[in-house]
Amino acid sequence: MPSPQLPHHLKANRKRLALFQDDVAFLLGNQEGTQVSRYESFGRVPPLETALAYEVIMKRSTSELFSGMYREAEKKVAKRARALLQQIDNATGPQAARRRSALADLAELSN
Amino acid sequence: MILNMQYDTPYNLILAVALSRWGVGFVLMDGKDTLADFGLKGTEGDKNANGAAEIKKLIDKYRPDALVIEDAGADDSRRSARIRSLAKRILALAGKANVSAVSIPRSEIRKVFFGDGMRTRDALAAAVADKFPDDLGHLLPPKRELWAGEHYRMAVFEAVTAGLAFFKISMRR
Repeated sequence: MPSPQLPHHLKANRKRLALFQDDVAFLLGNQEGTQVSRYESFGRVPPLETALAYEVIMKRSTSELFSGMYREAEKKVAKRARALLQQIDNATGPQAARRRSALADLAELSN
Repeated sequence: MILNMQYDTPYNLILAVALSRWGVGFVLMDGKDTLADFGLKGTEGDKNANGAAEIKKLIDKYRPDALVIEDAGADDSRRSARIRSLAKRILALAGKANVSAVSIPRSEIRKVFFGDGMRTRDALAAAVADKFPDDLGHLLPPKRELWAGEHYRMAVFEAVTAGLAFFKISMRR
């Protein structure tokens, strides 16, 4: 299954709820419809607080709303985890095993 | 007729459009299960020039992998000369923007949804609303009476059927 190509699906989710940009702006607080338009047209990335407010408004998880950005983050983390796995020493013991297991899980993420 | 199509390429971001007397219905699909944008661009005055301009804006904004449209020039098509001309114009626009242009005959689109292909637009729209109940359920046009014209929102549903048909056809190959 190919990854989503768009960074997020804010516009479709707003349309799903039949909300106007001004409605969303009001719900986000201290924002104008033009700012919502910028978010929707990928001109600006909403800050974390706004992204969480979007989650509340749209009743969708942030990773679902921002699925393209989430996928990208996942790929990058997986790549870093693979690099880190190669760097760590072969220490034994439960802590080291747990750390290796966590990194191995992350390394597999984007596969 | 399917134009300029490379099935081995993983198309994901698809702009499907449907032309009607009201304007241009469109849907942007980010994969077969996600509607990233949809709506109707109403056109007045020079409908073809304005409709083509609206589609160009969408192509420039989203840079889709492919543009999908019903084949208005197919032998079994009963579309008007204006719609045929606009469809040609849109295909040319996509070509100019280096976006793969795909036109699918209406009969093929219907076969994808209903094997016999013998169903109405209302049935197709209902099938689409079933697939995307959250996004499109509230927009499903009322069933057309024999004496009534087509509802303006039907173009959005036709665009989605074209987009879904494209994904289904390309996955078969």
